[in-house]
Amino acid sequence: MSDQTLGAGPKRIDGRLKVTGQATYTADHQLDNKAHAYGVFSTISRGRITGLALEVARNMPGVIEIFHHGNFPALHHTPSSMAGGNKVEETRLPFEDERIYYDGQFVALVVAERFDQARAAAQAVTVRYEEETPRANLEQGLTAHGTREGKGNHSRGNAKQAFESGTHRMEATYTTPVETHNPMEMHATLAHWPNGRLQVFESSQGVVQQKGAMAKIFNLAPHKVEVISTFIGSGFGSKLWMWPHAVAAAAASREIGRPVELVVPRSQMFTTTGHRPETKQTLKLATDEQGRLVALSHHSISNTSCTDQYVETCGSVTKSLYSCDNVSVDHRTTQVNRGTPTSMRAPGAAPGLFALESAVDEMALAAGIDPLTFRLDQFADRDESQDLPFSSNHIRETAERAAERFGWHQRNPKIKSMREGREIIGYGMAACNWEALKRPCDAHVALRADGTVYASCATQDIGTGTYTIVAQTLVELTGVPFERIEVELGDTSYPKGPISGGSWTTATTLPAIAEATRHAIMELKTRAVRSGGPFDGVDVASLNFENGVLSHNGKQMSFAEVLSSMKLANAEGDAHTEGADTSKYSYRSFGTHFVEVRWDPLLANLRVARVVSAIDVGRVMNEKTARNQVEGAIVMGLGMAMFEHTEYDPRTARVVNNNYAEYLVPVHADQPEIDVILLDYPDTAFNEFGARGIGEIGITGLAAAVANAVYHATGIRVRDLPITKERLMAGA
Amino acid sequence: MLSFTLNDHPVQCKSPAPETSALTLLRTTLGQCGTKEGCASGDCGACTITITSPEAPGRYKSVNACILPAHQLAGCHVTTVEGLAKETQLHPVQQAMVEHHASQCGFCTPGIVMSLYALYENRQEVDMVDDSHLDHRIEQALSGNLCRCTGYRPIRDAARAVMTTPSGPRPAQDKAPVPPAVSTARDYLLPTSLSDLHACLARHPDAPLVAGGTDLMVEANARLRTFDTLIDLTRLPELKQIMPLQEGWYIGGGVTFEALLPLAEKHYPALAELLYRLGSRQIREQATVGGNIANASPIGDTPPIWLALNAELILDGLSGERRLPLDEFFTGYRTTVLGAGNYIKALILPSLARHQALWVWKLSKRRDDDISAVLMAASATVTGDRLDHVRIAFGGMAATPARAPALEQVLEGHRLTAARLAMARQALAEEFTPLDDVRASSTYRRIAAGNLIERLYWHLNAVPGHKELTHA
Repeated sequence: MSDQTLGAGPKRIDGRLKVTGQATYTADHQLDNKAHAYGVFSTISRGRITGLALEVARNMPGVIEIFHHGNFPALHHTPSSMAGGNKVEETRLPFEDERIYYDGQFVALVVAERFDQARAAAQAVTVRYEEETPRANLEQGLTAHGTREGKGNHSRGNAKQAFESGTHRMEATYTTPVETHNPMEMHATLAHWPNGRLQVFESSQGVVQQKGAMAKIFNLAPHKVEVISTFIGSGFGSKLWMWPHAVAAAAASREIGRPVELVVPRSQMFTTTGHRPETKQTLKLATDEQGRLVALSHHSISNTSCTDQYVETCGSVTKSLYSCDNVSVDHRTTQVNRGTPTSMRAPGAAPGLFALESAVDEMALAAGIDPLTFRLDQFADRDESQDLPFSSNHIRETAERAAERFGWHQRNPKIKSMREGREIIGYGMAACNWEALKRPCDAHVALRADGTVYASCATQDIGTGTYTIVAQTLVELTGVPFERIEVELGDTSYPKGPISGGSWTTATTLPAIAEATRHAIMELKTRAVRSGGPFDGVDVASLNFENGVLSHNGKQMSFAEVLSSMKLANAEGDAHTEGADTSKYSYRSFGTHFVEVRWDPLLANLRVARVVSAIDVGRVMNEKTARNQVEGAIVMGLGMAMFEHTEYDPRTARVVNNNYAEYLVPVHADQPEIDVILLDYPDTAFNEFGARGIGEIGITGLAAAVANAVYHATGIRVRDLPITKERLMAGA
Repeated sequence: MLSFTLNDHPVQCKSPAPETSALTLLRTTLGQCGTKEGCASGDCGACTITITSPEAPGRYKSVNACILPAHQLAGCHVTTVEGLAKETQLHPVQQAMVEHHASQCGFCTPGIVMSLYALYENRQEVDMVDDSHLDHRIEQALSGNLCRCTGYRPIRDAARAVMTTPSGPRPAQDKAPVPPAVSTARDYLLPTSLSDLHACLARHPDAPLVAGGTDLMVEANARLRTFDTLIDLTRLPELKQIMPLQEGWYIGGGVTFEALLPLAEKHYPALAELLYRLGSRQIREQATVGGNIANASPIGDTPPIWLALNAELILDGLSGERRLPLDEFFTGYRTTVLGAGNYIKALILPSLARHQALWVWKLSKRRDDDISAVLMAASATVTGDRLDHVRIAFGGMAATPARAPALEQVLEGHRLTAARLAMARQALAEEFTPLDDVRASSTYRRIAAGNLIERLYWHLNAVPGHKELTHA
């Protein structure tokens, strides 16, 4: 296998564009006559607008129009169905009425000739409100509204009864705070209406869904909407579904008859573009005398907004990770005055595994068993929640190999027992787990007369390397070198592709690309054997295609020569592939993290020094991009464990730390020594490539591994994220 | 009119509004969109560019374009990510970033490329005696660049590779002659001599003064503040001087922290350690000694150090030149005795006396690119075990950077024993009611400040074999 085909890991196809500043992100597009929009955002979190003073702003230089609930055009709601291809997370339209549901809600939109003019005029708009007492956090929501039924619940056996009769028991409540995705690129929309059609440049993880939603909202035939997202400064879930700013920009553009660009400022990336909700999770575990799990109950409550229902399914992994006869998983929500939450990298599993894997650690210690042994003994061999075998599961191997590499067996289990200088060393571990999904997908491939191969699909490359692995797939199937491959993604004028989320892009897109490639090759052969073709009369089945060359009985011609000889531009193939058949197997990815923390009690200084993770995601399509994904997820997991926390003023429900100075994410200096082991066992029951996807699994379980290591170092069991110095100091 | 050189091409454009950032100018006016906006507050580094100013033509400063006043580009040689590759040949830094897969979504990449470009082009400054030194320089160079995708390892690999692989000669940068540093703006004044400056102050006594702009521009971007007139202090050679004096050092108010670093490394190592963690490389290239004092933030990183060292200020402006101890400068939360139309001309920093030690410890949530929760600067002469001339000042413990006289008194003339430590903690607890905010709770600050005294105790009573941490 050459360096350019699957697995070996060629360089990213888009690397050059990115290091030279030529990769074009949404706000980089230049359109003639472009106007700029800037939002006026609500400064209260609940109530209604009683008045807007616009005169000053209207008369400021460059101002074209100011939109608000009094003059915004009447639009329609989208049914918000993922299957229907029109899902949004927040169904309420911007400027729909005078009601305010959250801090940072759009209350007006200033459109001006220049960005600075729009921003200055937005500042000059004054809004009068009638304020009501907001529900600022989960506890306030619970007091005011109680809870609502969630989704994804599960029950088998009788967890309550089994817990009561267990020998060793643990019961604890864990909380995780609101986290904000904060991709480096802020949300942005550039909309215009050439010839009555809506064309939108958007930083989007799901152009097809946005197109569908726009068509519904603006009452347009679907073919009259195009959404383009060629490069995305990542999203981590916040760009899966369209948010109100996109509707506002598109409507403004239609009204003023000019292209409109709207960039969501960093401060409002915390309010109106989704967040990972706050959770409160109660875990109850019990074992028998030998330490076998007999009861496992995981009940969680997460916040949703006052306009929509979003459920953080914290117990999704709990259903199937461990073997246990009596399991109860329950999800509920409560309404608070925040924008609508949404998926953030490994939704459900990231907060859920913090709680579950902390609780399992506590349970193992209560039963007097080493946490690694406890897990190795009880990892499930089949998915007991669905009563299905796993398609491929090597979690024990991940735990054993990572433990070996990490040096877990040198661990002295006694609390605070391992020291170096003034630092106390703690070792902790946790399992990680994520579902493997595969969706329907369309793709188009062309072998072209100039010797190049072209593929297109309306999925996106959000930085994970989709352009690169699609190109690799074409290299593998056609034998054409990397430099002669062209891949286009992120435009709804291409065949329908999946959202870039759920770690399913690879598993979903590659089979469609492969199928389309085979169709294109078949088309080439069929043409070649026709009358007048270079292989006239040859049986198609006996015609060989290898390394870009058609051959039969010693006669060889490259596909470029074949096409040229027939004056054909190309041979094309289109394909549609279906989602995974979930009736025979449970498809999941597995792994284990080991973490070393160092704790200086005097300064309450905590750092993660070392992480060893082994991951089983089926076949590794590109070693470099795969390793990148896991390392990046681990570092984001450290952020979750130690820093990330969107803070709301409990009186006003307004975000306090709405910037990169105070919403801390890890920096270079926080990066620990990271060692990632990729197992690489192809899961051919899942798809022909055997790849399950790798974007999310790395973040799951990491925060629990840190918390477990912190407990080992300090004796303090932190059940509330993030693990701050304050919490450690208070507990010391 | 504003003129400068951008990627070797002369640029002349209409004078922008005073608070316009270099980033807005590049992206909007000039349509150069390779440079990205990630935060507009100088925290993420996606907009990093390099500038070479007329007074130091060979030195590349990496700065955050989002909080750099556009007018400060006047007369500078500006390089952005679009300007590195020559025809099809990537710059070695770009090549290394590609080779090492150091880009995922790519949005932070232009800024990272530019930070590494500055490191690479200034590499004669980087003394590569050993690996850990190089690692330190790389860490410093990248301290202001956030990446949310990669987890940083590939970026560091790229940096190490490019800094350790000797590269062949590159085509010389044909530098277009830089137009003279003239700014004709009437609302953004760039005086080039003190007499000019004084004339500006007399005409516009209430105009805010801009030095690095790292605070003022955040006000403009985040709080949408606009300004009628700004007076810029960055083109005044007198304010950039560092001179030895009989009693210590004369440090001009306009000296940037990066420019202060060599002096600190040589004469005040504890200060150097702090400077490595002050903001980020991009911030240190812009932010000035005078600015950090004048804005009187209770959590400014350097004022406690100057207080501990008993520094003095030379103020000048409409009220005339005067010299006063820093002790008398701060009057309350973000207020000072400075008065409109006046500026900090210099800091007079006493030399460390024989046996005088300086300890500076900063506690923040994150190691780099973060604001202090608590910072303690302590100075004393240590004879035997006895502490004399004790001066201890804190940031984050009161409405201003503040000394702790009761604490000083407990320690003055004594050994710091366990018993004395308890007294010191007590004195400190009575002395301050610290702030309660998102960076830290009041309780945390109180306990942590006490622990810093305890750290001093351990430091002075070092147990052999206990490794002293160089950072908090």
